[in-house]
Amino acid sequence: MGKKLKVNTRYYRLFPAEKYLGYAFEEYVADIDETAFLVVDVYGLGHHPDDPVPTWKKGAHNKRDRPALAWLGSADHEQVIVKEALLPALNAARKIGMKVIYLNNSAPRIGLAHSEFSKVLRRQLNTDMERMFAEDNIDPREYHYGDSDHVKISKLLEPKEGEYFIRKHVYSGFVGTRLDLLLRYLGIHNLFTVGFSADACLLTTVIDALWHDYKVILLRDTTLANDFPEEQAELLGTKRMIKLMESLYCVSITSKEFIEATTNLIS
Amino acid sequence: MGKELVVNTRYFRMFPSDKFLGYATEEFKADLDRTAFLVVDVYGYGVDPNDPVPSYMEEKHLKGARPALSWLKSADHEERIVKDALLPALQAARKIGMKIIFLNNSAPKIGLKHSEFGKLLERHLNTYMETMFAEDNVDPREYHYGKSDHLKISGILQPQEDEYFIRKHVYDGFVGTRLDLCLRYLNIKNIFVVGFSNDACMFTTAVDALWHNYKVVLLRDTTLANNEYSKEDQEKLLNTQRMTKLMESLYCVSITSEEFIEATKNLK
Repeated sequence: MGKKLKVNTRYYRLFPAEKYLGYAFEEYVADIDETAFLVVDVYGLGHHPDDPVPTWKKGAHNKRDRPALAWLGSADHEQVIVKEALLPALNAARKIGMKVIYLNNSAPRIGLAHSEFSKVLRRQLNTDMERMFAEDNIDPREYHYGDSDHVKISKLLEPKEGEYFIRKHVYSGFVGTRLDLLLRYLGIHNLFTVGFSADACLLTTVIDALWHDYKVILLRDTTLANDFPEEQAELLGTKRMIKLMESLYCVSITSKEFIEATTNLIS
Repeated sequence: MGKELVVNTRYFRMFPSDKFLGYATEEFKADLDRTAFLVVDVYGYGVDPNDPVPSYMEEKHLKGARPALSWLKSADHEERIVKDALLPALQAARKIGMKIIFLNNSAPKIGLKHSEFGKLLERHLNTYMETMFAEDNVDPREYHYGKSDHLKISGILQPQEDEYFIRKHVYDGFVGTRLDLCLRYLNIKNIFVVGFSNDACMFTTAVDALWHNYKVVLLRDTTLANNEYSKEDQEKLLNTQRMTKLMESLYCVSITSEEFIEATKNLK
């Protein structure tokens, strides 16, 4: 049995029926050998000064281009979240040798344009997967090839050698991917989860992780949702989604608590 | 090609990024032969006056007993939703011979209390699946047997002969069940979905239906959420509305029960 990470997880109690008890805490001890740090959809150039200017920021871009999330102001928030919470937590996980797994959107050649999911993305987000998720570092027999920079990862967040990188094609990282197999091969039971977005990719990956019987601990200050305009000033949509996850799907901690726990491993 | 149900579906456009365009509508034609009406977790006594009094309303009720959803007044809303929207839509679907599939929670004997989901329900909802989801009309070798009435379906919502009834054990009706096989055997492509709740069982089932490549049309006035936290939330159903808008933005399209019923009267 290896070293362990001890965290005080937060969750929301939806009982009793007449008046919810609300937030509570529970200590959780995670054996590092059975724990992975899951980094969901942290793509988007601009976090590092050496990154190229992202297409959506250039004047003559295709009007469909946008930041990683659907709303313009999300990019500034992502920048703060990545620098102040997500990256420090990721580096702390690396420092203690926790297994790190990236999930990233992609466009495999599997008839995406005919899928109901692709139709939702086109209709509701004006997002054409086969163009916007096309990449220039893949085998064009397997994935759609193109020069979109939408799913490119900033230099600041690039996976390091020995870390895992799994391409996915719907919000959930478990659908049609090797994520569950990878987790089984590595003997993982606990997932510390960071990334975007709290109402789509991160949310549905967390839900599917629960169905696959993984213990999910969300780092709640490392995420952001596709907030509606009336919610954006105070990130009310993001807050609602975090509370939803803490109520019905997982427990949470902050990045600071995670980092603190990595500096106080127990045997 | 059989008869078609023509509906004007609503969705929310999250573009362009500087100012969302908001709601729009799109006509959708559903081949009746390839369409099912999915009724998610409509359990809970009290909707029909002939139902027994649900145990959560009795003085000496089971520890942790509650209405189908986690908040007390949800039962009043469910009753209104069922009577005004869900049941009329279900009956309209029956009238045109649409295939009907019920999904219902259950407690199969598969080590539930050891599962992360079982632990979550205990921790977050004070819900012990093996007692609260125990039923008295199951084979006790396969399911937890017991007298709980939590999962009992009201007299007015009972599945009828030739309708399908699938037991599930997590929120999502596709996980560890025969739902996808049933839909494939019936050659279903389109799913009109009703039921509870729109932040857990109905929601995750609609999401998984999308991953399985079904076209999902939510009847948006036939559902309700658990996560109505405050008095204001509960009075205005703010989170139910937020979840419906989330679904219309990122997961599916929607219509009202009235629009559905109208469409069933005008098959093409």
